Amino acid sequence: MKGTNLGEFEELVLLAVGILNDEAYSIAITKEINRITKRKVIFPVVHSALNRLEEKGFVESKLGGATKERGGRSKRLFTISAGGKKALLRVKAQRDELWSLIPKVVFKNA
Amino acid sequence: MKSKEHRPPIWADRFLEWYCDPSLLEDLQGDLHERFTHRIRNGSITRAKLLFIWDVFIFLRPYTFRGNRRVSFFFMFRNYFKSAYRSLSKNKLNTSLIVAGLTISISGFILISLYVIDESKFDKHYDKADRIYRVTTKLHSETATELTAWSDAYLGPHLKELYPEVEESVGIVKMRGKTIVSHDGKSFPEELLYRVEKSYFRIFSHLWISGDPTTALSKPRSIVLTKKMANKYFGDEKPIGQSIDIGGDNYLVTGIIKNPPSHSDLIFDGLLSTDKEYLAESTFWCTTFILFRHAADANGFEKKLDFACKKYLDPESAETGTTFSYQMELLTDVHFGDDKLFDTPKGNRSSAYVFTVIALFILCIACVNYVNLSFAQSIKKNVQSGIRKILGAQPSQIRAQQLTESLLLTATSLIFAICLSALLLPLINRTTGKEIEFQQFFSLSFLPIVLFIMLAIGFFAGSFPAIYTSSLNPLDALNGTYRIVSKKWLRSSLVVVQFTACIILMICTKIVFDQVNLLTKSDPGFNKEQILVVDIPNDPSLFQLMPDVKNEFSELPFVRKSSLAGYNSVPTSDMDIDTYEVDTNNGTFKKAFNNISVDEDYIDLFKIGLVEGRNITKEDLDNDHSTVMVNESLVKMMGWKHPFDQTLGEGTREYTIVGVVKDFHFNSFHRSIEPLIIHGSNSSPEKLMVKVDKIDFEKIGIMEKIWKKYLDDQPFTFEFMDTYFNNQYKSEKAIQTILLWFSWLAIVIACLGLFGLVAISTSQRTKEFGIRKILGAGPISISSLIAKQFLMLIGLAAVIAAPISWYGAETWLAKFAYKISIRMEHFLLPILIILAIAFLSMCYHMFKAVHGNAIQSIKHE
Repeated sequence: MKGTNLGEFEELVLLAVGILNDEAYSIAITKEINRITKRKVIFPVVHSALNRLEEKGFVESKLGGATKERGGRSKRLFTISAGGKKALLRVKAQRDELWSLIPKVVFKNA
Repeated sequence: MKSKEHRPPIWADRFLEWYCDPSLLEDLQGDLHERFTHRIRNGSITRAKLLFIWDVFIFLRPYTFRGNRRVSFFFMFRNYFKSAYRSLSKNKLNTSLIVAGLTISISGFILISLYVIDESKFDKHYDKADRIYRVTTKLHSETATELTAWSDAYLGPHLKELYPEVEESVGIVKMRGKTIVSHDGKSFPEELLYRVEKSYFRIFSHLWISGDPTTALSKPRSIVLTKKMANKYFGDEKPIGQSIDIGGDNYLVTGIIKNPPSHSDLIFDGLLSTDKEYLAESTFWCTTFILFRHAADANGFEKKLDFACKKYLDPESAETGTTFSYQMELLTDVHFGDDKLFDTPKGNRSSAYVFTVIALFILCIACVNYVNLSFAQSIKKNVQSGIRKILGAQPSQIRAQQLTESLLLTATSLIFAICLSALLLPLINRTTGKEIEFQQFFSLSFLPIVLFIMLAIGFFAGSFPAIYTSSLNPLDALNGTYRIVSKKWLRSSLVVVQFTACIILMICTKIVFDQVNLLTKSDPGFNKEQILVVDIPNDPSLFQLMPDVKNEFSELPFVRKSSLAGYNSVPTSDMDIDTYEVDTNNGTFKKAFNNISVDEDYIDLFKIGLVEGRNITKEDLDNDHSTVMVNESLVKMMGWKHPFDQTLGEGTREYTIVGVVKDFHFNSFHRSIEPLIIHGSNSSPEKLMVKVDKIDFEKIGIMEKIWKKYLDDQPFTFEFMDTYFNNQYKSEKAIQTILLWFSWLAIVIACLGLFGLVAISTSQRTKEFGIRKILGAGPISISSLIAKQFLMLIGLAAVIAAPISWYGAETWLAKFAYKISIRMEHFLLPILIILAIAFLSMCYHMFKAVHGNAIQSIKHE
């Protein structure tokens, strides 16, 4: 039974899918993550993460948007599914809760 | 740029299509193409292509793979590779022993295979090689049966006329001795010139640089040169259409061909056209090749040859007292065929066999080494495979993992071995007289060797440990109850196999050495030391000058004696055979005898003993050349009581016998001494022999000056008698050298293995030795504990090896007329040497066991 947990990297990818909206296919997602996080994320890793996310049911995909530079082949365009949205929100809620529990004093000393 | 749009490498694209799951393919392929297009925009095309290939391989992952649920095996390789790498680097000593052994043996195997491949390639490069046959003659006479490579010069044309299936025939004849070739002030003696009929190029295909094969030799006085020869005389000039001086005649260069490959029996530098239509009009004998229309026409053609022989040769054979028959052999079989008189240099099939057997031995020894050493460390591996099994690995997966490891080892050794053999190649070329090139390593014929090695070692040797570990009960493996000891019989028998091979090689080496010694060191019946054999140019107008040259040489203070010898009359050459009328007790017969022509000093120069009668004298030579000497064998064969009463008739001439010489080995010790007639004649000398005290450059200079005085434009070239003599035993010497090297190799590899084994067995018994020492065992009893079992195995190997090597050596010796008898020492000495070396390789561990601290040893484990 595959876990339905959302990993840290998967969360990034999922968010990037959200950001790109209609144009979310693997290469664009990689570029977006690299641009925002300044991390050197490589394409194959994103590709396999997307695959995992789809297996877990967090994204849905459909083919479309063929271009000439792709040799006329379609892109796999991803959208966040209902399950994905739920997972993202759950992660965010957890984070917010954790944030709210940190005493203010802690940041004073840091 | 529209016309030339860059595309990613097609094969990589195909590969992607092959492995990728169809549901992912469309998108993934598009993605990769898109990345490719982007990269082209920002950088070089090559880089983009390489990166595309990289991408394709990077995406070879479980989730992209077609039907990806069933291919875990395929993807476990990464893991197998990793664990193989780790376990190999953990046992550095063992791994390096294995790799060293494998490297040495594989490079030995590679070198020998290259040799054997080269031997088997002989004359196969001709397009029509499967339809070309050589016709040779067999002479039967009462005294001997001789095979000669020659046949009647008319035979070719006759056969072509009689039988439609003979498409073409050619007669070729090698120019006698050395011919002086000159052009534009450059002048050298050349040996490799052939006179060929114009049909030659219709049968033999060559690579032409310039000239036209159909017309090149159609006119008299034309010559086709090889590239090498053309460069030698013409340098940068264009040779076509120029003239070149061949033995005093001008020839027109009509063609240049690429140098024929070295794996051919017909090695030549130049091909000369015939003066008339057929060679037969100017010579009686030649080498005949025929070309059949279809390869199948050759079946049963021997009968037709017999018919031709009856028709044309029988009248003649009745006259000469010999019967002839024709034989034919396929061009590609010539190299390994029977040795014939006047033949091209032969390959030695038995050498090729011997070498192949050695190569397999070496490979086998290294495999055994590998199996042995990997068994020895399998305890540690058993734990690993035990855990793998408990985690759900199938036996097949364990086997796959083990095989990965052995293939990894084999591949590493193979790479090392290729480098090593590339380094050793010049050495092998020198020993065997071949010209194998480095490029061979990249040729297609080399591929099977590599595959064979990988399969033989990687799978064969690797499967033993693989099957063993995969069949273990995982719990036993984890408990360590399965000790290596349980497979002791296997390990022992492997050691025996290994050392059997070693001892066989050693014994054979010893026997070959003794035999070669017998051949080269025993007295041939004549003195061959310090004799220079000077080539006399093949030009009848110069012959009359030769006695003067000889006399002037004789007067030099450092020259003891000099002598002129006629056609093929220097010891080691193929003697001429002629038919003589002789009287025996049963009447007069015609008989064929070997004969040589020499002058009055020949017998003294070679210190050949005189049994009775007298030597040929100067007067005999000045008179009419009608005196001859014979050897003892001839007298014995004819049963003559008074040889001097006999005469020998040849055609219209009659010879009187004046002396009988002691039998001497004119030819090599391969053959027994045959009856011989020694003519006193110096009318057409071929070689001038000079016996000197201690030769040096100054003396050669003096002789050359005299030579130039008489024959000023002829080069002074010579060879030592010793060289001619030793050339007879070239193939034996090659076997000797190679056996010597490889038996050392085998010993080194086997001892590497022994070293490793002893290391493991002593480390397993460390505790035992400690206890023994505390209880009072001395150094001798401890070391004998270690040595005993291995030395006993080697002893067993010796018992097995002795009869095998005896049989092998007897087979090899059978072809010699004079051979050593195999004695006890041939076996004892090699065995003792091997025992000593094996003992030495165990010494280190014995020393460690004896001198280790007993208390520490007990704490071991």
